[in-house]
Amino acid sequence: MSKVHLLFKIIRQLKVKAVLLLVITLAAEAAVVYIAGLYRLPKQYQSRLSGISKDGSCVYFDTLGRRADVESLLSGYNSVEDILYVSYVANLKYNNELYYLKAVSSEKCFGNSLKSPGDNGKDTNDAGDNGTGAKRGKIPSIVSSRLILQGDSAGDMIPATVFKEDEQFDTEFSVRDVLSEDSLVMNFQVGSNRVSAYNIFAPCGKDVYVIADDSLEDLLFEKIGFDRSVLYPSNGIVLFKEDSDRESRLEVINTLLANDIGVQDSSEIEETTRIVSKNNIDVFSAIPLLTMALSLAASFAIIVMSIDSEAKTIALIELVGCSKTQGNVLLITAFSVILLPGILLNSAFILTSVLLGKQLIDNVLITPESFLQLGITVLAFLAIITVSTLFLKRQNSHVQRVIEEI
Amino acid sequence: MTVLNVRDLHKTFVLKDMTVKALDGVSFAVEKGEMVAVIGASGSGKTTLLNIIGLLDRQDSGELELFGEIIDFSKDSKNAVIRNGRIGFVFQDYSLIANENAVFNVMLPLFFTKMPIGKMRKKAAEALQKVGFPETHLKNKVKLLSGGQKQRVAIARALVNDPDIILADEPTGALDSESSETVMSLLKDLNASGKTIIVITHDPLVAEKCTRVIRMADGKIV
Repeated sequence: MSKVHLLFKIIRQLKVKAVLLLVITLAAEAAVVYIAGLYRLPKQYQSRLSGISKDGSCVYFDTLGRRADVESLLSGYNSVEDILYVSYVANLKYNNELYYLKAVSSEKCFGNSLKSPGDNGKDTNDAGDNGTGAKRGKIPSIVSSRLILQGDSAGDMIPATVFKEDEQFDTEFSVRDVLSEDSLVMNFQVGSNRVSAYNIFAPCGKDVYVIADDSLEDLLFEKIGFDRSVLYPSNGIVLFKEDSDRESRLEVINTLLANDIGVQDSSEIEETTRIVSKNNIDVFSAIPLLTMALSLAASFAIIVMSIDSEAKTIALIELVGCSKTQGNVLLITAFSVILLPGILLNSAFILTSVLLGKQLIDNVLITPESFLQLGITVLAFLAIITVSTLFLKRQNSHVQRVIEEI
Repeated sequence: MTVLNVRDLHKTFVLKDMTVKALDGVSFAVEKGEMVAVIGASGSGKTTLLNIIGLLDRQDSGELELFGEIIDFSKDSKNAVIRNGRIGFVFQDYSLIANENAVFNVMLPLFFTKMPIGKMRKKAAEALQKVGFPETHLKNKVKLLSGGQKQRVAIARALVNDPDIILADEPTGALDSESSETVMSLLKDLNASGKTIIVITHDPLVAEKCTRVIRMADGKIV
């Protein structure tokens, strides 16, 4: 207990320096986490893209504003493994809120965001009797974020209303999975000729995705009476089979081009993604990088100056019975205690972001990996504290002062 | 009873471009209850000797026997315990924490015992009272005290753990004659109460008040 009292006396001696050190290290740690998060976001987009393209085995297609039945168009080509697209279907009302209902052609559109194993829709014995769901006894599966599916989990059945112009249709969906609002899903928000991963993927946000399978077709076409074109894409990705040769792929591309559907090679998209990522980082990293450099340099300088002044006090304490090891431990612990509130605040921020699923802040992606960057920064501070303590305490020792007088 | 026995102590400092022989074969013994003055000019090796006796520095060669035990300088923790419980220091520059009050400075050695804080405060106040430190100044920061008062605080700190030996390095060096007189009479009183005292000084008037004088020059006893 008495050592703790002594420890806090040492911290209190630092007064303004301790407060300054706390603030500046807090800023430095936050800046490091921010910069790491800024670099992490493009990596996530690039990784999602490369997860699909698999060595260039895909092409992006764009029908230039109209909806085309690309699936029928390419149905005769054996080199096509899958066609990934997202189509806006209708407005959906759930819990008295309106959302966009978007159909996804495949679960591949969610990448690795889906955590629950799928069961291809829920069987319902009385689906035909109660007038909801599909007549084949399957209910369409939806995926959305926690923002919308609050309190719902995979496997739950939820009632919702689908709008078709002025008509409303009450139905039921099965929850396939609940994602965090920042989970990247295919969205194809294309606004330029050069497509990047930033156009293909977007955070799940407040959209509701329904998986386009037989149960959805039954619901949309037979029960509600939508036209089949509602599921036709205006853009998407054609995935080729890995063992398909170059000629067969070219045939597919030529078919698309012949039908006035624009095509971009995956290598073009990857290159555009790299350029957009670099531009984003250049734009958003300048001030945080400066802040990081200044706050780190200031933290190191204040740590060294503060230890230099406190080393004199420890040298005095060593005269009256404190061992050198105890002196080192006292000084290192005192400075670690000063750093502690900053570490706790930054950790709380990362933990809150991860637990609440609010990991995307502007262009910064906070993930559990952010703890690693925070940890490395803290270790760097501790290294500076330890080295400064060992060196400066020796410089300020009673014996050293005697030697200097000689 | 011999409390201190130094045998053939050698100590050399290697400075930037020269080697300084601070101690060159120093040997002497001090009996319990003695008040010994080590006198010599500046650079004669007095302070180096005191640092080694006080377990703050180590010799290059030779042997130091303290309280009947040969000191092993590699055992820093053990030596810190000896320094804490059996040796008291008084320095010319007081070596006090200027921004803390008198009581806290005197309490410092007690932080390395298992004493509760309340008892530490009480003991520190008693030690200050013993050296005649004014009660009204107990909570004053050391930097606001006069030289004489600072040295009383330093002596109280040296006393608070009831050590066997007090090492005083130029205890009157920074004081006016009146304060010097008071500090020396304090040390005399402590000696009279059974404490062994070694005073490092270059002042013959201070040395006169001791029971024995050891003279040093160029790192040797002369």
